[in-house]
Amino acid sequence: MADLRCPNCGRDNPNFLDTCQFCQTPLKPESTLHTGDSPVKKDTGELEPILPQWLRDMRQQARESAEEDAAASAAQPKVRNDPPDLLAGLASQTRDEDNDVPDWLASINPSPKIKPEEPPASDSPADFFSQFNKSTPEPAPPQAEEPAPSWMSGAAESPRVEEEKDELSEWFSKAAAEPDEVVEIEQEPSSGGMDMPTFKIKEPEPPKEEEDLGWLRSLEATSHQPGGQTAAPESEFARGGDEPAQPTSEGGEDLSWLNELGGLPASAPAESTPSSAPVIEPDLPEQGHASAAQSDLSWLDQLGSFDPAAAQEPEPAAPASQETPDWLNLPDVPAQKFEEKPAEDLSWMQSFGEKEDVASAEEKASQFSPRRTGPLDAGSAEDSMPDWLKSATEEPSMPPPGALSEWFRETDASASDEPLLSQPQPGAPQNVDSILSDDLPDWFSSPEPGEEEKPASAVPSGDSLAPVDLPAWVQAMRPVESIVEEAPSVESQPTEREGPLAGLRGVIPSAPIGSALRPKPVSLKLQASDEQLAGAVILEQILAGETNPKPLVTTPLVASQRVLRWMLSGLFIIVLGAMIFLGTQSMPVSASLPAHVSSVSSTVANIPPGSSVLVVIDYEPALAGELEAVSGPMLDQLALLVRPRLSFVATSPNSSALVERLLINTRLSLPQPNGLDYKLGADYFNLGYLPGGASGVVEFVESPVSALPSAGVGSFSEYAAVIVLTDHSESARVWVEQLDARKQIDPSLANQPLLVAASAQAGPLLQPYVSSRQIAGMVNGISDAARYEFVNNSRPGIARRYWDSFGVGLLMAIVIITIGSLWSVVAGIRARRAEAEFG
Amino acid sequence: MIGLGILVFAAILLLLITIWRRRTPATLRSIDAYERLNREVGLAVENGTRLHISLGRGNLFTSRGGSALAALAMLRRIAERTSVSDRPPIVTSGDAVLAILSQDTSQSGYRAAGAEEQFRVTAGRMTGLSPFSYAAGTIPVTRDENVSANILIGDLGAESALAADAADRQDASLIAASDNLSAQSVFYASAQDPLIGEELFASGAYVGAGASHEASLQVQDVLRWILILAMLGGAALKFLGFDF
Amino acid sequence: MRVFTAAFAIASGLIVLLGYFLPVQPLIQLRLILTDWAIVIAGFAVLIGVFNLISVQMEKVRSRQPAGLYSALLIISLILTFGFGLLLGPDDPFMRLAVDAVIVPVESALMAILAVTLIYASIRLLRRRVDLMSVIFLVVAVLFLFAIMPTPFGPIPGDQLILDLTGMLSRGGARGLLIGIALGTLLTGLRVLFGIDRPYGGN
Repeated sequence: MADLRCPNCGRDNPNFLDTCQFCQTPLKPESTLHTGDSPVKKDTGELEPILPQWLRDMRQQARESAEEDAAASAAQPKVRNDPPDLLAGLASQTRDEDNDVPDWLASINPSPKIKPEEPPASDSPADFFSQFNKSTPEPAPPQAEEPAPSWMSGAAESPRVEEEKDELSEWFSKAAAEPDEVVEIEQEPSSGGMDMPTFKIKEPEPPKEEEDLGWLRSLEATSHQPGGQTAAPESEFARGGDEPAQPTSEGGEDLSWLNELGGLPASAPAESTPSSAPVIEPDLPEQGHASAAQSDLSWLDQLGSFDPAAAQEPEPAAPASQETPDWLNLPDVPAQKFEEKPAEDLSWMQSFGEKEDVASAEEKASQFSPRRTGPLDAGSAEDSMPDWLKSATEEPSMPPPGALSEWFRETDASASDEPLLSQPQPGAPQNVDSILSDDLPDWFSSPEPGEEEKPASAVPSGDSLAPVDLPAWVQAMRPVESIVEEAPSVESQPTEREGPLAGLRGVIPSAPIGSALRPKPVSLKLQASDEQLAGAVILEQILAGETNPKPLVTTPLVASQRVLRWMLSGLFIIVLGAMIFLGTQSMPVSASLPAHVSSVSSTVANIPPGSSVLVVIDYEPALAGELEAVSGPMLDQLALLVRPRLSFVATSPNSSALVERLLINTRLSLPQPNGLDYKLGADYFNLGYLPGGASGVVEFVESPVSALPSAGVGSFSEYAAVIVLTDHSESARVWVEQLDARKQIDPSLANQPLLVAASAQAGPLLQPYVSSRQIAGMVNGISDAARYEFVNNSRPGIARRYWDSFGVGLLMAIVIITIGSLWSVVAGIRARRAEAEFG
Repeated sequence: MIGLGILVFAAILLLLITIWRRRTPATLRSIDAYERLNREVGLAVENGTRLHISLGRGNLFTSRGGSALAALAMLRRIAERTSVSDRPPIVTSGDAVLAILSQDTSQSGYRAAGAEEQFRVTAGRMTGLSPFSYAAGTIPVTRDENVSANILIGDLGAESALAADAADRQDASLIAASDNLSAQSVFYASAQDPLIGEELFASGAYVGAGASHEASLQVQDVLRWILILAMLGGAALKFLGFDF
Repeated sequence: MRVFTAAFAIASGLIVLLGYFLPVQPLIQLRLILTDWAIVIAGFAVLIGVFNLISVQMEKVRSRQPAGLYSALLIISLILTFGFGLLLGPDDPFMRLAVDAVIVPVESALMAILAVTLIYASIRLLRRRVDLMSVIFLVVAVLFLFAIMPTPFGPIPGDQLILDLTGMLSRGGARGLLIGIALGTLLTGLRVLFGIDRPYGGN
């Protein structure tokens, strides 16, 4: 950071100091800004004497040219629009840098070095125009040695700047190099064989003629005058990084910061208005002076949506309002009309343009003539500078920013009465001044003649403004003032009566704090029709239904299942346990035997006494209770009547262990008188497990001894009868089928009866074999067994013990299934209805 | 000899239709249970869950071995399709021979998919020799092995209701078929899409086991019509007084 | 190896099948020999199955799964029962006690649970699937139970009619189902017999 030079004592101070460390003079205007100071509009006309001479000359020329076009320019109205866009950006920018002096302000603070003979304006720390008098610390290299970028090729035509550095241009360049810059630039290889990047803005170069910003051309033309040495600052953008400083061709190039200031994206007009957008071609020198001279002012074309091409060419310019901000969407004035009134509001600038025309001829003669926008040499500066600039040249320090505001305000005032923009025409080129008057803060507006109120200043005599004062346009950039539409004057504010501020007035603004910082409310409500709103409501409902998690029904369902199971189990256990424990036998048993049961009884009675009977244990331990009850009366009758030798064979591994249990529960193996005293190895034989399934059955039927060596019989026909105790119809069917097949082969088996004691689930499937007499008789389930027992004198009585519990259990099952099914139907309907409601 | 004639006729028909079906695949009617089976196989692979395939207690030495063989054919195909899964399917059975064959079939399925290293012998288990011990042994598999679908196909009895109930408690899908009528009645009340009758033997065709399985279905249809005509004809002759 | 196993399986099947249908003595003898082998192999297969059961449960114990304790209990019980049965024989009172006190009650309890489960499944049937067949299924089941239910007043009037009606329909339907299952079994056996399906030998 460069040191700040005290405007009072002229000594250098560190940049971070607010006041001079030697004389305590405020170094920065912000440091003297008091809270509560309302923005004060300055009459910058009084700053004219402090302007450099060359600027005063330019101003004078502008006045003269403005007078020539006064009629036309006076008819141009000032179109006012809401300026919040620009101000909001400035305000936010100001807020961010509230405690920091902007670089551009800091850079204009030091006193120029080029004119040490003139005493520095100690009372004007923010001498804006003094930067034009500053010389660059190091001279810019000549164009021939280091060519400028192609887009700066116009600079090659400009004279080499050596004396001063144009800090204003540097500031402009910094502004132009901000990241918001969206001008599409193509980097092209340097034409001069150097590594300098060339930039090409993809926009047609607008003609420089008919510019209403002639004042800037005047600046440029002045710089082109012989001997005129203007410090041509090189922007950061133009340097392209580490490139050394290059002389700029036009000062207007560096003014592209105004594009940023207005929030106008440079690429927007490049897309929408290609004909009016500036193009900086790498081969700019070959395009002649006109195009080269215009490139520096192209930012103003964008700013005002002015279509220079329309001014020169018959085809109208493309509208630029689509891509530009609102504050720039001013109706374009037809180019033809603009040509007729070139000066209009900025007539004094037009004079610069005329000078530019004059200077262009000189540029044609010598395109490499140095150009300066800073202080010119004595002779030329005195001639070309307007009066208001002359004083600036004389003064070592730049005028306060407030002076610049006045300067702009003056131009604005001249443009306020322009009639051409009173009726804005779409597509017409806009006047820059109208934009400034509409969208820029009040420091661009016309001055207030009656403005007398000035804050307390410490400006020494001889200076227009006190160093502690901020210009109005800078104050307007402050957050509060930029938003408060009309800050109350100090007189209108109450005087403090208490506290340290007693007696002071206007120290604390009366504007509401907080709400003042609030931006203007912008209605975000969509203008939608009722139908659209209804559709939106439906869509919201759909989305809400999609996003809302559906409640999981599995957990309560599982819980209810578990509870229901426990309830069912508990109910059965309690009721049936009580029935078994009580041993009730209240339910009568029918004495009539079914046909298949009576067949069993008759078959048993016909078995020869003392013969061998094969008993097949074909049930699992789980059904042992049922099968023991079912087979009990048949085995009891058989043992009582015939007392055969029983041979037990099991068709499952576990069944062989059930033989003893069967004989005990049927009381066959129990000693008399409770049982029949069957002895293992004498009266019955446990042959064990017969593996192989159907193959084992086939083999056992064909050769019992080969299948089971413990069979004890040589032929299957030695068994007088075969009794199958089964809980599986399939396994029983195997025995039925194999025996039937064997009977067809071995006639000795023809009279061998097959009796079956089946569980309730297997019996119905074996019923066809009973009907076909392949099974001589069958006891099916507890129901048949109870009847059989009743006929068999209630022996062994197993089925009868189960009979009451069996009946109650069936009744409970019927009731539960019926009620539960009905409840399931109702619950299912409710669930489906609920699902339908929730979608 | 009638039985042998029917057998030879069925064999010839099976071979011919198999050759024909290799050229023109059959169009099978939609069976919800098998569509869900294919979907569950894919979901299990994607979710990283297991399939529990229960082959029942079909002893190959009995007529119930037919359903076990049909289940093994389906297992072969499913093992091939799920070989890419991190969790191979678990196969349970209630017969020792069937357990050995299930291991062999699963291994061949993995080998066909080129993922034989994924095969584990313990994936084929015999959980019990009696019906209820077998059913009790399958319940922990359903509960503890992160099973998303239970496929009960084979010779299963009424005790399979316990396995079905375990699947319902774990909120796992259930696809069940049995050649046992008691089990079919149980599955009708327990499963969402029960398979009735000989639909069990169509499992291979619906999981893409090959043209022979499709041909088997068509041969079954042919033989079924023959039997229907034979029963109607015999009943008519019996009604007319012809004794045979 | 695969060809050998397939050829052996096909040959064995054809021999047993033809020996069953054709009264040719060599075929019958050969069929009996093969049947004996099959029975022996089936017996050993039970042992292999038991070893498989042990290995699976041991794996659970090794991997410390939550049910590992029950697996360990199963293994211990299996070893003890096998040892005592081998030493004392199946007719020993200790073995009978094991059957009467453990096996039968446990399986009977499972049967009782099955009864509750079936009742619960019947209750949930109409919640799971509401259609005409489900309603008929439940109505027939209730009617059958009602017909065989003993009452304090004796047999329910019309019980035999209900049993005959339901029995006729159910038996007819069951017969048709069994025929279909038999056909499926036939075709499945033929596929195995022809070597189309080979659930053996790793094919």
